[in-house]
Amino acid sequence: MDRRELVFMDSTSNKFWRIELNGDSHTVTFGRAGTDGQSKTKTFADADAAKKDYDKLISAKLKKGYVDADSASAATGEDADALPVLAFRSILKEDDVGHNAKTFIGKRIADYDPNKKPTAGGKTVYRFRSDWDSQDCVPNLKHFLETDAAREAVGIVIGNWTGDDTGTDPSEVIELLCQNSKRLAALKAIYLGDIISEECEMSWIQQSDIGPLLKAFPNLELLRTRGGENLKIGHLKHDNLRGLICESGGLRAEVVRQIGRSKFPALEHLELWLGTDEYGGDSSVEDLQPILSGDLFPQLKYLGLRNCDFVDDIAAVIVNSPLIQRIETLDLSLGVLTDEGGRALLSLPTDGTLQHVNLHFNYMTNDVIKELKKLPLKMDLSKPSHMDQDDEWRFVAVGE
Amino acid sequence: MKTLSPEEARQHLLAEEKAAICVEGSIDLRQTKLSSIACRLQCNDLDLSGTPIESLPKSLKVRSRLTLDNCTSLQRLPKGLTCGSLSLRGCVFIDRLPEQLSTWFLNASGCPRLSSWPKEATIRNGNVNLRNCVEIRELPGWLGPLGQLDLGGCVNLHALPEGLQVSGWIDIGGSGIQSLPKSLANSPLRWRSVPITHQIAFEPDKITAKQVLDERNAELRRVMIERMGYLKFANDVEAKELDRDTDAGGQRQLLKIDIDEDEPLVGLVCNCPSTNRQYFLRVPPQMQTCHQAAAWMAGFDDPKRYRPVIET
Amino acid sequence: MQSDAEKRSRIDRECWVIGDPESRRVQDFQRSAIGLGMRVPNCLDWNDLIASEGRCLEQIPPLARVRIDSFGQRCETIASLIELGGGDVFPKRGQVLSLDHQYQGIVRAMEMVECWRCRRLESKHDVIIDQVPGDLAVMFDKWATHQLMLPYRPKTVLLPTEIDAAGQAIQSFADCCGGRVFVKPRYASSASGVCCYRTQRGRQQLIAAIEIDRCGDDIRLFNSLRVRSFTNPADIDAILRVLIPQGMIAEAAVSKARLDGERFDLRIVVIDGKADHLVVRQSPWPITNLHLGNRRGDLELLYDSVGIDRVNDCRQLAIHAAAQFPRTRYSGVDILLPRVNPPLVCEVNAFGDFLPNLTASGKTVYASILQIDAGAFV
Repeated sequence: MDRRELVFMDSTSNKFWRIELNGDSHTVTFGRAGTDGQSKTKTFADADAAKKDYDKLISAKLKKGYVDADSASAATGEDADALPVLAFRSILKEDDVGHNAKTFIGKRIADYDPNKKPTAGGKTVYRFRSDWDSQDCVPNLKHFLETDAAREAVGIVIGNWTGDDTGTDPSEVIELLCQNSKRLAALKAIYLGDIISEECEMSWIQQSDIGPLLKAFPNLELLRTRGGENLKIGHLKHDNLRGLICESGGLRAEVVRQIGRSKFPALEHLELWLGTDEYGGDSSVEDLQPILSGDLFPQLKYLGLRNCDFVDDIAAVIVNSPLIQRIETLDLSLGVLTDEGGRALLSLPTDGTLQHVNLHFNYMTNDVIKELKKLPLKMDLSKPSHMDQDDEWRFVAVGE
Repeated sequence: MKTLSPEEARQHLLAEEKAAICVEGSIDLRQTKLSSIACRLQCNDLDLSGTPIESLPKSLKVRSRLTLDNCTSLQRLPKGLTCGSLSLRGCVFIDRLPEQLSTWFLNASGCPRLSSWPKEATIRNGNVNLRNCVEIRELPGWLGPLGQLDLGGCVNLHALPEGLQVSGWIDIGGSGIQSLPKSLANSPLRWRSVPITHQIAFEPDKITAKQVLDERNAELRRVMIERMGYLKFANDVEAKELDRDTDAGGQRQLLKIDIDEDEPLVGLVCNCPSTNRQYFLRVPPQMQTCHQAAAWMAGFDDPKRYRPVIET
Repeated sequence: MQSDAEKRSRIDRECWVIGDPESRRVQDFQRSAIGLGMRVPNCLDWNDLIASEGRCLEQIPPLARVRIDSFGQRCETIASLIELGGGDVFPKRGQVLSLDHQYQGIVRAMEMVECWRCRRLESKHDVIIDQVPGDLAVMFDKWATHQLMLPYRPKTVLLPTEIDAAGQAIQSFADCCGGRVFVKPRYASSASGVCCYRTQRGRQQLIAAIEIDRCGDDIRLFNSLRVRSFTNPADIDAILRVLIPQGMIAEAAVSKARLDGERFDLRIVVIDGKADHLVVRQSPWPITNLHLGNRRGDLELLYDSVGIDRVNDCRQLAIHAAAQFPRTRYSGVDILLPRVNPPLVCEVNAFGDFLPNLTASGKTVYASILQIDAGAFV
């Protein structure tokens, strides 16, 4: 009996999918992680037909970004408490940019309600945010920090900290978290800025120096931020940080350079949304050279250079870089990737560690897409339905 | 070695202190009066654009970006210079790159004297920009593989080394290049930043007026006309004659071609008296007469003031 | 006392729908009737209604039951409505144009139906119409509806139709509503032309299901299935310049309650005073119409998170809103549930009953409408 179990995680879900082949039938079981899920059995004319469908379904799931449940990226390391690399995934598709996160590090997110007792055991990740007519973020966080659940919290999500006053930065929240680092003893992951366009345009989000978080939480494994304006990483050394995600409509060159001289020896997942210069993203491919040289992050498995209007330039340089020989996933999605960049990617190494290439939301023509599909790599070449092929003016997925 | 903040390092360098320093970060000395670096220096990025700097010390270590744009007094770079990217835009005095240079990116656009390459050096993985380096006559065999290669305006460069690898585009707009080595047979091409086909680049004779008029992209259309020749294009589309007169070189014509979704193409067709060849010279579309167009080309807005003895 | 036979005959009475015969609405309605073992309702095309100036209504036999449904999205129907309303600029498919004239056309068409009904009444060949045509005309005028729904409405002002004056009015209204307002066409249905506008620290944002089509100086707006955020002042100005002359209202934004982290509102279909059919419209955007790819929220979750009492308050308010049109037997009421305060009425939709697959006690909306107690007629 053949059997395969796959798992999937992103900002909205954490689910499993299992298939068992049994002669002329197969059984698919799927559902939310931690549940029994539901099963469906399908019978075929003969065993060959069943096997063929079994293989087809698996390959379709792998294309969608599922990975084997016991693979390196889904399994926790030697340290059973460590987060799997899969849990570092942020949003995958352009459509999801407009939605608040529903899961974080594979756990369900709930808005913190001071009137309800928080769940114990760190099973739920709480989100703290202000509404446009209320200022609940900091008071709720303070309330939470006094509870026992705070000691067990593995992840924390900070949503819109400013209400509708787009001029405020999160320094107060950062300070509060840092002051309470002893209480937040189990904290491994912080998402600072789960803010969608309806709450505050991405380019309006005022960030600040996130260095204090790195300093105050030596056991932090994932730091995810959204918003590029005034973002700074004032502390560039961390021994245990495994995931760093900076989502923005425009990431300043200085931030990219800061990362280029950082010391994060454990980093496995680096995701930078470089954006456009219209929104302060003034970096260029030269700024990425220290990262692409391959010496900087020896453990890196995933590199995302997303939402980037010069991704064609990156594509041309990255295929020759030493780094591409070492990583497993290259993510150039959400940017302005055209045929020029697509053709450069035809020389991606196919005999090394590289397995997944995410090019979702691109401006390539069918000719180049067809060529890329021939590469023996798992590629996401999808486009959202609204993307106009003849679009003369090309945009990154998230400008604002 | 003392570790300084970028701002402290800036002051240290401007004061021409001798003590060796190390900096985590970017030092910005753009448009300062700095003419030399007096100390041993290690940093991540160094920007000396627009300074009167003449040379750099051999001990200088820039890990990532070294920017020397418009350093017009800069003559020499140190042997063995190693960095992530080197930008020398508009360094008009530079005529050679140092031996054992090692970088990913080189931007030497607008270096008109740059002519000789080191025997041994490493420029690979990144992009090379030699836009308007008119004295470049060849590229070295050790070059590459590269990301993008800009050779626009390299009028004296006629061929590229066999085996050169470029994964992105090559810009050959206005260069002397008329064919590509086999290793670049499928490379995307550009003509002064406009993506073009190999036919437009290397078989301009085969471009037809119909092909031009069917092209919807205005920039590409202009390149196609430039490649096939204005005169041939004007003849092929049977341009409208706006005016005709005679000058020292012989007969002149002012022609107009209407193009969809673009301003009309208006040009003066004239004979050059010295070479006796016919030329099509593009003028602004509001020109009405040959005389007005000739005056505009000579730099007169008011044609009444333009009274040449002989037009050359 | 009516005999069973009489009741039976009334259930069996011929049913007519004034609608777009090609539309899913009419086809679903007809299928529902077949499913219930009733006669297939006939469809009288809005196009014919307008073209014949109401004369084609004469083909409807005495005692028939008549339902007025949407005129649909056909360009020719919209054009003839606009023409009927005295307009002479006609939109392309999906274009937001001439809403004011289109509204005048709807009013004229409703007058035709009302005249016909009165004539029938006098001649004793009477018919039964599910909706009072005049009520539908009110529902299509958001400003008129607003006044009828007071005090259960967000603060709202009618905007001038001149662009500069309207711009100032929006600005000062936004200033006194915490920076966020909805700017909505006075005469339109669904999300067409609805904009969520906000201003903060000199920045503007306009969220709408709109696409701007520029051709030189000519700016056209099209309804889009995609909600988008505009922040470029030139885009926002372009949108308002097209919309304002067509008649707009500005409505204070309400801080809606959240379900599973997302905002929601409720569409409640009230049929003969019963508010059984309820849909949670959940969206990350402030515009929650379901055809824009938003999703129906989970009812159980709704009860869990806001409590059964508040949901019942919403149903009661929907019933109250529908009761302002006492002789119109059903309508779709949109209810806003603020985070803290009591619910408010967002809109009353004349044709807000097209909710396929939604059931309450096993009955779809159309089944409930078709089975309206026959004894209650006349």
